[in-house]
Amino acid sequence: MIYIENIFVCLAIPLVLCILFIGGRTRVFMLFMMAGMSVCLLSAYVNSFFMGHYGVSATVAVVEITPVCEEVMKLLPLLFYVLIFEPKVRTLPEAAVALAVGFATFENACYLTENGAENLMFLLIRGLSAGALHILCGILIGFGLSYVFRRRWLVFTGTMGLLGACIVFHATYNLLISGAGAWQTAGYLFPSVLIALLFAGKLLLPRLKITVE
Amino acid sequence: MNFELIDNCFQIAVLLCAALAAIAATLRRKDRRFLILALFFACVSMGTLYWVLHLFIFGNVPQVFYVSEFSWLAAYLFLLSFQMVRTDRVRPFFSLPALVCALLTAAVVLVVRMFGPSYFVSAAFSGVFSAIVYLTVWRLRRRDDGGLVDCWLLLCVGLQMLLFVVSVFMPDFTRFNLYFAVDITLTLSFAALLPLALREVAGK
Repeated sequence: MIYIENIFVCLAIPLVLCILFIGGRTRVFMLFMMAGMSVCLLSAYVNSFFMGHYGVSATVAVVEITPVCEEVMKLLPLLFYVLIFEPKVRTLPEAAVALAVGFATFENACYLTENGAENLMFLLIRGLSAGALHILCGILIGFGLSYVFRRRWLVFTGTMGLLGACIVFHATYNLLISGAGAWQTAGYLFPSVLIALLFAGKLLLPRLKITVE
Repeated sequence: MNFELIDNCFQIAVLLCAALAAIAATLRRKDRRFLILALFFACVSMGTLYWVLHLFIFGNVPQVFYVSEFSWLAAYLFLLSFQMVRTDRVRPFFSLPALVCALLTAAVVLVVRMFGPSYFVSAAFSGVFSAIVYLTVWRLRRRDDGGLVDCWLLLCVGLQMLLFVVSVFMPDFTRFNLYFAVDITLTLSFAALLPLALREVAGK
């Protein structure tokens, strides 16, 4: 058993203190990082509830319940931000990525507390793949929302579609890492490869003078 | 090898290639309709991929939350978004034939619970399917340009519904039968949406 509330308090306090002294976009970024950590904590409660409700094992929960709960929970602060504060849509990708970073950081901190920090190589691979997965989902949701919120008609279908895409992407990763041998290796590799390809695209496309309207 | 797996792997491969081609079309044509199509292809293939991987890794199909259904629902939501973007600058109006077709579609999906025992999933699918049918029939009656894409979308929705009807009468999924013929046709029909959309954009 780990005391995730205590870990959350330890990680969140420096962020709260820092938010008091900074402003502008950095403050929004920090707030969303903290929101990501809070969402991770709440997702753990929701996951536990559904796990108990359906009476399933931890493996089944990881593969079938966790991706749905986590992605839905990650979307809620973003929707709150968009609908209540009505920010400029171009700020959404940044907010979504910050949320994903906060979520991944807290998840990794809990993982370290539960499993120890002896095996650096494994932690490096695990940290890279889980971080890449959450950031990829953040990028998809952030850029997707910034597009769909420009077109009134698309808000509902676009948002729900993006949520479904993130759920299946996350679930496929969890499914692969729950397997053994080659499946697990593929699971750890594919988000890292995808984020590397995305980064290469980000660098190359402006050089090739390719932009999307 | 079980033919269901061959069919699923074929669907994953074809639609992932279609998704990559749609991304290339997005970059080349600078048109986000192709990006929405890419997301549609990706969601269908990812849903099937999850299903196949679950079978391979655990030897059974998902039992609690149907992640694949979420993905397929997301795919149809992207297809609806695609239709909405194509209809963006046109003022919508009421059309009785379109409404009748949409209600009929919703009723068929709901009554026979085409997408499993869950009422929530059936209701969500019936809502999305009927919205696609309404918008498409409305566009066809308005004689808007891009009629071929609209007809093709109706064909895709019809094939998806036919797939369920056929599955009821097929006792064996290990060998090739009518179910797989419909499923392969559906996969190829999905993929054909990309060249049709490209032709539509090039024609404007």
